[in-house]
Amino acid sequence: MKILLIEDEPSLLASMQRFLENEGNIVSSASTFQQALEKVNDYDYDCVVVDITLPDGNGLAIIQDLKKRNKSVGIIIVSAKNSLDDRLTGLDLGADDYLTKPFHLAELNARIKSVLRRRLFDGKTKITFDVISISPENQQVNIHDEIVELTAKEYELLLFFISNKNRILSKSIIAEHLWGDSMDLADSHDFIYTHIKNLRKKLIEKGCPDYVKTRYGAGYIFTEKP
Amino acid sequence: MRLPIKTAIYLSLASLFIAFAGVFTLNWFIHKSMIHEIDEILVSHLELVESKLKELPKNQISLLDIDDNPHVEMVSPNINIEPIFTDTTEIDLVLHEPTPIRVLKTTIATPYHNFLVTVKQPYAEFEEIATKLSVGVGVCFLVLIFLMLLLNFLVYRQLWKPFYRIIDKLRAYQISKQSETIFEKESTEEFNLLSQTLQQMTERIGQQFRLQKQFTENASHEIQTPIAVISLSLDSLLQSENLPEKDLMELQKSTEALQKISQLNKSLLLLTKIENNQFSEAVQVDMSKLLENLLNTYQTFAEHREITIFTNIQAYQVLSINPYLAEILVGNLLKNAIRYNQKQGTIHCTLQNNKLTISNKGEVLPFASEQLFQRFVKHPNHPESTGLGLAIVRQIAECYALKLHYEFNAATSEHTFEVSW
Repeated sequence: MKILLIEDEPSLLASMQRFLENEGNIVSSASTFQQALEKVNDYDYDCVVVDITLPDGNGLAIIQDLKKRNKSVGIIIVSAKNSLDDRLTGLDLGADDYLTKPFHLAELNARIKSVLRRRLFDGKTKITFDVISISPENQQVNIHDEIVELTAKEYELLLFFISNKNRILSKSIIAEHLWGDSMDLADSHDFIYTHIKNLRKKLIEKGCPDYVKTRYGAGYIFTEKP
Repeated sequence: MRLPIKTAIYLSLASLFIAFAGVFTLNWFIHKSMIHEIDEILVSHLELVESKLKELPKNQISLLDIDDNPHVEMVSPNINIEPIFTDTTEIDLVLHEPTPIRVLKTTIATPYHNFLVTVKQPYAEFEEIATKLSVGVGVCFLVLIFLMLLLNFLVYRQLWKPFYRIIDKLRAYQISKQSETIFEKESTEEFNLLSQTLQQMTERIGQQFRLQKQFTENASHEIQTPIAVISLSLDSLLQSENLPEKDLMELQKSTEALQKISQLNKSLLLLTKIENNQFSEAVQVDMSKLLENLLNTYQTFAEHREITIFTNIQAYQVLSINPYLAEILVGNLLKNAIRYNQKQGTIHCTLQNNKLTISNKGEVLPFASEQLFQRFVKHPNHPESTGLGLAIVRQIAECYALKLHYEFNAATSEHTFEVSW
């Protein structure tokens, strides 16, 4: 996938670029408004991640520009401001998602994947991981062609795991993905543990290998590797 | 007690004293002058008697007299009494009651005889006039003072009007409100001075306050980016394959601490924004629906902690509020009720007649209940909490003038939060 990152903070940009390239994407970057406009003019991207507070312009203008020339591009806004107004304006202009700083790379990754699925395949593509296959349009999970009954949170959890396979995900990252701001860090740890335990049990019951590995002190990793 | 009443009390007490003292002094003074005048009358009377006596022939030793005044008697020639004034009382012949009398006694020597002459002058009437006069003056004085006070009262109301106008403005003054309170020019110099000084003071405070708010907001925004950088770096470190478990634990601790900073920062920013009234668009929010949605969100969390939630929600309870803040308000109260509940405890959630009540089981607060809504007040058993949740609740309630009330029932060990509008 071709991704453009527009971000004025160099170290943040570098981390994001490295991460997304490791995920197998072709990543370009722009650190100023002007640079971003040029790149948007010259090339086509599948997804653009844009920080709306740039030193020399408002990222919202880039979104307008993007939408004029390419209807199908996925747009994710990144902002230090958790402002409802900006969020609404951004989404009105045609952005797909809004992420508040600070965010986790796993979260950004999950959002990009979700946007790309919706944009490129109208959400009709199946997500597969070894023996697991997921149809996002009706949120159905199959293992060996057998339906697994998952709760909404367990489904989200599985999707997050698969989007970030082979990565260590700490409990707090998982908690933030599942609950957002509605749950404080402190409450969620053993709660997350219970959710993961239940999900694991349901997957194993259907004859699925135990993909969820615990990394002590770090978190969980979803992998086919032993 | 109001100033005019106090003034009136002090003035009337003082004037009562002055009136009493005045009446007595005046009475004494009039009495003095009256006696002086009477003495003059007696002296002239005596002179008349003396001249009459000196003209008397040798064989006549008495003057024609009907009321024994002057009283003349013959004494031996070697007695010589200098004129002497005395006061005495005699029974009045007409009124039959004792009446004060001034007496002048002296010896008068004529060529033939030596007379002892006594002239008298009753002065009860004069005394009466003196008393009436002094009491009259005292009463007039009191009436005058009373009228003055009455006038003062009326004038006071008019004069102090600007003062109360200024007080009303001060009372309505809210530092967080953007609209500026204007203290107008007053015609009374003193009040004008007060008004202008207050105007300058509030302007200065307002500016300081705005600067501070701006600083908080800017600082919070600026902090988010470095936090994001640290967070991403920590995350990529976490992914490295050959880290020992000990280092992973350290990384995890840092990540969590960082997340807490971020959460604190977000909460503080939210508080500042609410204070700044940056959430302007209030819409009609169906609180019943909102509450049900949030209960749904937190249901699994409550179940996880084996807490039973009892609800009694009246449909379509509407509140005019920013929907995002409404969610935070109710969400924070619910979260609170779950987090500080006992294991296998209960939550009673009622929304009826524009009143939301959320109560949960729990131990008595380890601090005074007035501190509950203050920033950074935490339960010692929950040091990981930000201590801002209820402060945000209060800020939102203040912003929309909602009544927020907390109560602890020791008998059932139940904490109850009530929000009504």
